[in-house]
Amino acid sequence: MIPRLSGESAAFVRRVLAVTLVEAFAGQVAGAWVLTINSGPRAIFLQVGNGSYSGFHNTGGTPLNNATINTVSVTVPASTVGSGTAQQMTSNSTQSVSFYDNFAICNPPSQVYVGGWVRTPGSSGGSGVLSVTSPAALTSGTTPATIPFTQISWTSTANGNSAPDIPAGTFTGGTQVLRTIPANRWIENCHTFFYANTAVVSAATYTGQVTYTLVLP
Amino acid sequence: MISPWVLVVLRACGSLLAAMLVGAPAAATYVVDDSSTIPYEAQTSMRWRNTTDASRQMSSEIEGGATVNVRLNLQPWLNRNGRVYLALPQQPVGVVNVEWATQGRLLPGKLQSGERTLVFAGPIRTPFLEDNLTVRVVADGRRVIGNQRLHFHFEIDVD
Repeated sequence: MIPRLSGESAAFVRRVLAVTLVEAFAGQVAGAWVLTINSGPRAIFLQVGNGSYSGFHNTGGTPLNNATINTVSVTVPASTVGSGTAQQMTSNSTQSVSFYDNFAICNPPSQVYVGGWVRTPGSSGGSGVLSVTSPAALTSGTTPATIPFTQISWTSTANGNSAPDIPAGTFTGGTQVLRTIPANRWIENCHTFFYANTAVVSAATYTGQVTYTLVLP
Repeated sequence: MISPWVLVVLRACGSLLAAMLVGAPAAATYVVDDSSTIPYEAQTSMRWRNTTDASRQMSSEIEGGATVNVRLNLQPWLNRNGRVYLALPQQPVGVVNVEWATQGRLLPGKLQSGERTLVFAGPIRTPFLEDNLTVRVVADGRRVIGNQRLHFHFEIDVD
């Protein structure tokens, strides 16, 4: 009896092994098709004044390039030059709606749209830095006099959002950081510009150009 | 002590068990051979989703898609009833949502990583089951950095 038992046990073991091999083989035959996805692309969008978008963000729109350089200006009556009474400027911007959702967020021409966003993958993805650079002064081609850019300031608001998401400020005649823009957040405001009018200057047309920059490190 | 009768029964049971497992898979779940799927490895460029909300938050999700000609080898379960599922294991990049449309041989559906979803149920009449799947994937763009390989597989429950 004992030898036969041993033999049967051995046979059983062999079957168990065979079963195990079948199962393992079935596992090896099967596949697993692979779909490789990549990270979202780094992207950046900045709009000052008139801009362009293919539709609106909430309907799948994407940014387009717009090379327009808008102008803000004011004509100061001779009787008030240097009076210290701030003069509100007006613009040639016609941008009223946000490309986020077509909401009429700004009231041109007194207000100039300023907005943007950044996209970057990763949970610790950096923020964009919005800054503006102004020259030291506005100049005129007909007179040696200049007007310091520090004479120009702006307020910041928006229809439906009175919070100055991009703070009000005064040009410094250099580069100044306006704010950081976190990833995946659409930041926008409408700026109204003012000329401080605290100095008597020669009658002339004074011009200068400021440049807004959004950087995603 | 085991009597010779018991040994005979044991031998018979063992033979039957082996025959069942070698000749036809037992009722269980098996991974399906999908190695004929084309492309077997596909790559999709993801883009940011354009969903919006009142706070002007932009979506942190990314989405992309691919079309895959799936070819499943069901030969081992021919003439049996089975339920075939598309499955995606849990992913290190968090929840991945998948939706797919088909051309009718398989069922359209959706799943989250870590789940499986039925794509076929019924008798298996042909050794291969083939369909074109248009797959759309949505993932958390804050967690997907670089390439992420999603290993899908099909599995079958047979009666």
